[in-house]
Parts: sequence; C-alpha cells; structure tokens
Amino acid sequence: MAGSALGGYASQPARFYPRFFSPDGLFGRYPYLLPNLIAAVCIFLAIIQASLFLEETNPRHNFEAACPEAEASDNEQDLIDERTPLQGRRKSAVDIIAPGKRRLSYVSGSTPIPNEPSFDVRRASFASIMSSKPEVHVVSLESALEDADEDIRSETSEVSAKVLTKPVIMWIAAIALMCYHQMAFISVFPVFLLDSPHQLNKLDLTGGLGFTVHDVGHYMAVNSCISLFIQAFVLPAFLGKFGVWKSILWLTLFCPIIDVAMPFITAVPKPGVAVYFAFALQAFCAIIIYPSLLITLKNVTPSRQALGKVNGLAVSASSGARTIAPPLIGIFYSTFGSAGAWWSCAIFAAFAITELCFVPRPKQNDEGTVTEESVSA
Amino acid sequence: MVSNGMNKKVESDNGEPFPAQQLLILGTCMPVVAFWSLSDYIKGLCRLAEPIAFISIVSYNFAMVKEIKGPESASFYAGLLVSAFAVAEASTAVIWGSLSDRIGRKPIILLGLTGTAISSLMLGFSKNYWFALLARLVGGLLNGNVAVMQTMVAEMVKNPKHERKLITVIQAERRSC
Repeated sequence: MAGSALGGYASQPARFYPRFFSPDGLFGRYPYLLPNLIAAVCIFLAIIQASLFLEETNPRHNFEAACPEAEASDNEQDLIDERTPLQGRRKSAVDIIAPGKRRLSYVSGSTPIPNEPSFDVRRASFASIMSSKPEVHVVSLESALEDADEDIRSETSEVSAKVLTKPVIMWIAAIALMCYHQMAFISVFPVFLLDSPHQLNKLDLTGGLGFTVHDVGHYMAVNSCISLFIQAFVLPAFLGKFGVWKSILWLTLFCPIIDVAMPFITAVPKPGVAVYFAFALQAFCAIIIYPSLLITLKNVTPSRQALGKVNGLAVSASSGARTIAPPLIGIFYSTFGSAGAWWSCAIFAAFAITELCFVPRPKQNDEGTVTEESVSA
Repeated sequence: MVSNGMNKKVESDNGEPFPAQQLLILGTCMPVVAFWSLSDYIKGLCRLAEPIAFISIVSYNFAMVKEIKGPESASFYAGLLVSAFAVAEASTAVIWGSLSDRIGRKPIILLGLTGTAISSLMLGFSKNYWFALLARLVGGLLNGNVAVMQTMVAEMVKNPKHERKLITVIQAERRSC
C-alpha cells in the first residue's frame, strides 16, 4: 500500500509539479515514467546491497565449494579404496547431513555404527564395488536420497486420498472467494476514484468520483495506515474476544453490505470521509476473515502430514482467485459501470454466505487461539 | 535413520545467533507476494525494492490505460496488466526454484531483481498498451524470487529456537506490500 501511495504521488509529474518537470521534457512525454524510475533506482540499490552483502545459503552450493576433492572424485568416477583418506570422507559425510533437514535413508543394509561415519569406507573395501557404492559418495548419496523419498512417497499416497474431505474443500473455496473479493475491491477502488462522474451531485450508478491520480495516492497512503492499525491492534483483540467461527460468520455477512453501499458514495457531496470509512470497513473484514479461515482450515485438516498439501492447495486457490479478480472486475466495470462492479463483488460475497450455510461448523475446542504458528499454517 | 552421533553434531549448531543482519539485507529485496494489507512492521524488516515497482501500478493503472489505449474497456485492460505479472510469475516459479537449488540462491535473486527493474523501466517508457503488457510479462517471467526468498529465509535460520521468529518473518513477507 505504501508503494501505491508512491505510484499515486509520482505519476503525471508534469501536470502536478510543473515547476520541476516541464511538459516538454522526458517526464512530460512519459507521464508514468517517474514512479517506475524511482522503483528501478530502489531495486538497483537493493541489487548492489545484495550482491555485496548477501550470503549464499544453499547447502549444496556451500558443500561443493568446501569439498572440492569430493567433487573431483565424483567426476572421475573414482572408487573408494584403502588409500582414500579417512578424515576427508568423514568431513564430507557430516557436511552433507548437517545443514539440511532432508530425510536420509543413509544406511541401507549395513549395521549403523553411531559415531563413525567411516563405516562406509570399510564396507566398500570388502563388498563388491559394482553392486554397492558407498553411501557417503556424493552421487550415490543423491540416489539414496531419491530412493528414500520414493519409499516415503508411496506411504503417503494412501493418505492423500483421504485429505480432500468435504470440509477441507469447502473451506479452501471460502478462502478463494475471500481472496477474490479482497483483490477485486482493491482493483476497482482506484478505478472508481479515477473515473469521471456521469452525473454530478446525484446518485451516479455508472460513473466514478473523478479524482486525480494524486488524490488516489493520498487515499492509498491513508488506507495503508488504517490497514496497519487494524492488523496490529484490532485483529488480535477481535479474534481473542469473539473467536474464529463468529468472526467469519458476522464479517462474511457484513461484506456484501459494504459492497452494495459503495455506489452511494457518489451521492455524498464531500465523499472524502465516506471513502476512508468504506475502505476501513472493508479492510477490517478482510484482515480478520483471512487468518480465521486459515485457522479453521488447519483445524479441519484430517491429519498433520496432510497440512502441507492442504496449505499448498489453499495458496494455489487464493493465487488463482487473485489472478482472475482484476480482469474480471474490469469486465464488470466496463460492461455495467461502477455500480455493476461493486454489486458483482456483493454477489460473490453472497456465494460465500450461502456456502457458510452448508459448511460443517468446526469443532469448538480448537478455535480462537491466534498464535503465530496457527496463523502461519 | 540418521545415527545419534550425527544428531549430536547437528544440534551443536544451536549457538548460532538469529541472522538479523542477513534478513535485513534480504528484506530490502522482498518481492510482492500478495496485494494485501500491511504486515506487522513492528517486528518487521524494511522492504523497499520490488513492492514499490509492482504495487505502485495499482494507483495509476486505470489512468495510464485510458491514455495509452483509450477509454473503452479500460478497466479490463488495466486489470489484465495486474494479473499478467501474477500469471507469468506463477508459470516460472518452479523453474527458478529448481535452478536456485542447482546454481545457488543469490544469482537467482539478483536476476529476479534485475528483471523487475527492467520491467519497471519498460513500463515507464511504454506508449503502447501491448508494450506495457510485455513489460509486465517480462517482469513476471524473470522474477522467481518469491519461493527463493522464502527458502533463503528458512535456510538462514538454523537454530530451532528462532523458528517462531522465522514464522513471523515469513508471514510478514507474504502479507506486506
């Protein structure tokens, strides 16, 4: 939101700051160059800073850099023999294991000896070299990792069939609807502010409010402060007091009311306060509903192992909803005018309400705690 | 099963401090993940670079498309500019992620930032709608930073005691603009 404030203030500089930017100059001919140029400069600074100071964290990258002799032996297909240094072998083994949280089926077949990774070297010296490469070797470790992963995958494929229960699907759909609604609101909000009004000082169901890009930047800046305030202070208090299910229920019922009321702002003589108020209400609903939905989704997931997959599905659904929201709401705006766009948001919110009637209510015992882990789940 | 000896060796890494400095450097490169309300800046990292590039378009989107394409269906084409970036990013995310596993996180992050900068400049100089759309697509295609940044943050924080803080950081990344 802070970025959008910058976008609003820095656009069309020749129009708003004619003392500094002449209309014939570069910024006059390309009115939207300035915000993008500022962004590019900031990115350039970030690139310089990152290239100088950021450290590489990829463990494989560091391992390869630290143990060139292991790589060299990899390339030459060098087999482990009695002359291979014991110390070198142990160092590479530990470096493979230490940084990662990978599941290792490190030992397959031979007796694990806890404190001596060099047992693999002993195995190589009398086992048939062709059939069993030592596990410590980089190449065979990778294939051992793949084998291990395959075993684990075959176990979990049975679990995956039971993950997509009806409550899970319905809550993911609820998340997608909510993301669509919020994204649609944020997309059509500047359009509504910028579009020229079709009827002055009367209820205008097809036009906008006729503000300039600078005003939009102003509204966006204030709205970002409002959102920050709601996120930091109102969210924990509200969820703590009312719990997850009630929050979802009431705020989902409330959302369409905001959407239906939006076109009536055009009838208000001085729409500034009304605009802030409307945005604050919408931000309030969205900021509180989203974590509540995530918590509920986490609670209805049948098993802990499936949580990753369910979260991935939820993220994909919400990204998809956020991707189709701006063009779709744009089509509604172009076809039906501003009121059409807002009321289409209300229709989608009504879908969410009807879904809430059918979804099984989550259990009482797990709801309500807004800890960081549960919100991030 | 990793043997107990290995486990002891791993847990001796607990002494590492929370990598605040590196996270701060990374924070200035944080990508826009979602067009959300602001995150918890009280705990947060500063974020400068990419969110400015890609959230700023939301304010002047409509006005720009009206100028360079005309007022008909301008809101649709404006929305298309916003989603084009998201679609392009989603399509290449896996590729950049697996490439970063092979050649390292830092080159991919730097490449993503460069792509974003190029995309911003192209967008600023666009006089034609399709050029603007191309700029957004290029920005999305070259930007694999979402997944790579999250991976990098997860890899930076090796101490299990810092995992609570880490979850907050990842949350902050995802929610902020």
